[in-house]
Amino acid sequence: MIVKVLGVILIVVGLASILTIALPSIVDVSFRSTVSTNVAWIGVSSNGLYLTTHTCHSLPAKSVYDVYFQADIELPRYYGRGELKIRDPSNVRVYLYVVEHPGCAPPTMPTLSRVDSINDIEIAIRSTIAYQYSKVHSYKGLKLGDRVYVSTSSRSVSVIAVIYLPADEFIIETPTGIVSGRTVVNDLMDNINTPWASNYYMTLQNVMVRITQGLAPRVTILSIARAASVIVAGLLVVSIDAGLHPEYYSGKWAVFRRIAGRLGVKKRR
Amino acid sequence: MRKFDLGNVLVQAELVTAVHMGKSVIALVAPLTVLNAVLLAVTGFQADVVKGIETLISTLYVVMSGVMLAGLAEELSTGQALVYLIHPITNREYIAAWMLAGPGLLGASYILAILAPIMVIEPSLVFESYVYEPVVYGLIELIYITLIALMASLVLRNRSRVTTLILSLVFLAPIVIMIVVSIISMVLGIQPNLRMFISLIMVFHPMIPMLLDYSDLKIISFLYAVTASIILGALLFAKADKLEV
Repeated sequence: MIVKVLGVILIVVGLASILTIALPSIVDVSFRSTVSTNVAWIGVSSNGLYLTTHTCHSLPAKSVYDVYFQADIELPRYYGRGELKIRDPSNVRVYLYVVEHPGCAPPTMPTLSRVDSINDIEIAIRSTIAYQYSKVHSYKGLKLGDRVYVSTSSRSVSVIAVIYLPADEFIIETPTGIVSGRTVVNDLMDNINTPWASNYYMTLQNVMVRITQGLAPRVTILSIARAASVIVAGLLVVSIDAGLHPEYYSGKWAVFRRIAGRLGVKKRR
Repeated sequence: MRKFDLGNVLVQAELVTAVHMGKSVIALVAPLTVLNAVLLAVTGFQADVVKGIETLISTLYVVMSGVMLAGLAEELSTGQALVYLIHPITNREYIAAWMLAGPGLLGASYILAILAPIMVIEPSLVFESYVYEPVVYGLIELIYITLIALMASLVLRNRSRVTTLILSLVFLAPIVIMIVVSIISMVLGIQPNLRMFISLIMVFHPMIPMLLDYSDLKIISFLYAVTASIILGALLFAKADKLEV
């Protein structure tokens, strides 16, 4: 009977797990705290743009928290100046920096700067936002929608998300026509210190990055397989127990005795 | 004196589970497991929320388990225990069977119900302190309260009295403690603080310091619950020797 109880619990747990995995896909789960931020700083390299966002918040969690990081790029609402479109979002790379420190200082970076690579941005982050004693958790080469776990010892953190848009992967649609990403990058490289560059800056600044704190279980083959294996394990345990202790399996439970019979499990006499 | 036979304990534990707990455990675990899974899904596994949900589920589990084990009192009061004890089974084996079927089975199903969904959804989370700490403390509290329920059943031999005692310990005692401490503090003219309340409430709820993250009290409450459970276990065996049905 003890084995029967544990086996049934396994089956229930497996079914409940499937419910947990499927639930966020069925209903809109809005309890997770989400932070959406605009681009605060743009790094321009000859190959593309590094759109950098910065949020600074006090964590509700005490010491450890999970960040389900979903960098959905939302199209700018500022249609008068242009609309950013990405050809293939899977080619966009995301770099995430979580800086732990007792205070939370705003970034002191110029709004537009020329950079060679992500390393320049990291150096800027470490020299401005991160203090000497800060711990910086960095996650590089992520894709949009990737999930990362961040364990921090400080309640107060700065979250910096850098979206790398390769020059050939985006276009800006303006009322007067389409501007290719390559043109934008070349124009910005040539005119980075002029007031003229602020037009592009205003457009790109409206790109939003969403960071969701908390974990959204997702329907994946692996998660479904894990849940299914728990259910199968439960069914097997109950069936074997039904073969060994048929006296506990009467009425609607008799089905497990039949399964045990098929499996060839019999009580020893 | 006859040797302690583990085989007898297992057979009797099977009987206890079949008669008193089988359906109840499934009826208790199934909704709590689903509730746990749904709450975790909608709240996004955030650290503080996970801790809160697990503590809530654990408290419900502990209360129901304590109430379930009052079945021993019923067995003793109705004389049903006599039917089992005329078989070649000693008093100690009989009580050990209740301990295996009670704290043992309930503890195992508790761990399965809480940890298994998390392992299925995101196995790495199991190693985070905010996930395993409530489970460890919940398990200790479960064992502690169920042993109190068994001891109370042996002493009181009345199912409704044992049920009332367990419900009072879990729900009423913290409120009474808070009122009494507040009145005493008012009379003495001192300011009561939360730490004072927690130190007293943890006698019935070893989970509380962990939930409110009082790290020093957390260790004390853990050690207290483990020691008290060992003493209760020993007392149950001692009491079993003098058991008269």
